[in-house]
Amino acid sequence: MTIKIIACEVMKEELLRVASDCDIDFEFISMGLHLHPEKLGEELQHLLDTLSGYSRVILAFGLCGGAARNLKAAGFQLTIPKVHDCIPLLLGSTASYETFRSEEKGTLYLSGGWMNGERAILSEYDRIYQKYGERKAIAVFNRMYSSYRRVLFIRTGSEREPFFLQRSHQIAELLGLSHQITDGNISFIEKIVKGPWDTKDFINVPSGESINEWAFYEGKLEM
Amino acid sequence: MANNKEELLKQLADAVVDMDEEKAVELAQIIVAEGIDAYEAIEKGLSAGMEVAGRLFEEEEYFIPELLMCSDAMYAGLGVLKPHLKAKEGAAEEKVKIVIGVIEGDTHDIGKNLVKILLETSGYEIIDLGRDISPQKFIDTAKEQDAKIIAISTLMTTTMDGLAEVIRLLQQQDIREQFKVMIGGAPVSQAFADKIGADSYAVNAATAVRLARQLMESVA
Repeated sequence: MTIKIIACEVMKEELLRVASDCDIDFEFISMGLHLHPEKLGEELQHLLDTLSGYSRVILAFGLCGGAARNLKAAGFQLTIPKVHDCIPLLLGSTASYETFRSEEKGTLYLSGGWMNGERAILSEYDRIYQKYGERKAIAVFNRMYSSYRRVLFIRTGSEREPFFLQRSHQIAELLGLSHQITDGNISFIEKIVKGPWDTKDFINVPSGESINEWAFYEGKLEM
Repeated sequence: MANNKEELLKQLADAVVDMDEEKAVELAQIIVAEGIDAYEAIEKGLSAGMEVAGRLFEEEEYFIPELLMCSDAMYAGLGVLKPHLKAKEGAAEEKVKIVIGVIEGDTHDIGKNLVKILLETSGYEIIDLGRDISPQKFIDTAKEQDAKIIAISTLMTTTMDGLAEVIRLLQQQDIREQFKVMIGGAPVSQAFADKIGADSYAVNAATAVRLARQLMESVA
């Protein structure tokens, strides 16, 4: 069976580690696009449309603000985890995510992957600082994150973890938030790569059909 | 004079786009001194500038920090213009009230705040509940305040069932017809609005103002 995984770069390190003994093609998408769900969706569809020769294509994404809405599978089975964003994937399950959410709604979840890229919090802060000065930068970032109370850093076993943790602490300090660390769980990411892609955790779309947004809500939206 | 007015309004819009608070204040003062209508200056200067900023955000020229700084410039100009807004003819006319907030479970309120400012400057009375608001709270407040519109925002798909819940509760309490429900936020779509039976879906802040007007015309 030939598999391709299209993934958000936020989970790049974890996915590649899990897949080190597998023959799988990977393609990674910039996490900068998560600010623009519609564009992310267009980008993903464009990529899917160019694929051929795969029996299954897995999207290592969640619904991601609606980005996965209506993505069409053509010539392969399309599989996507039944999650709203990447946090349950990093934590290992939706249940675990729910626990942290009920503990503190104003949680800023971070992992190593969230420290990379130009839209990462510290690089964005540096950009604004350089361009508009410290007073503006502080004022704007205080407002952008005013609803957050704590940073929760999810450990995923990266070799660069000490560096990531240092950045995570820096973010908490900058935004005036408390800082906590929790152990992630690689099992969901492992299932993305190796299966089983069961209907409890995944949405599987046969060739010729599209991802139905409502499947992510598991009947909750019924009127 | 006409040229001068158009030019001033354009400069005011540019000051918003350029995130220049001081310039926005200075221009607003000139506009007032020139006797230009404050409402027109808000609409064709400040709001127009925010619309451009929103477009630049879509085009990834601007990011959220820039949007916030644009809204600072807008606020600064608004502070000067607001006291000069003329009361409408026959001032007894009451403003339409809108209850606005971010749904329970979500604390992202930058978008909601932008919508609020634009609705306010367009002549509505806004009751801002803030963020993380339960569906019943929206309804209770709308009833208490005799609001005509309930405007709900969310940035997270995990909380979208709360939007549906507002409609469900209105139906259960047999008061669905008393309020118009507007929804918005990045993950919300027209298809979602149709599915839960909301009256309208606003893709951005400027559209929210237009839709609020349409909703009120439809009941007038």
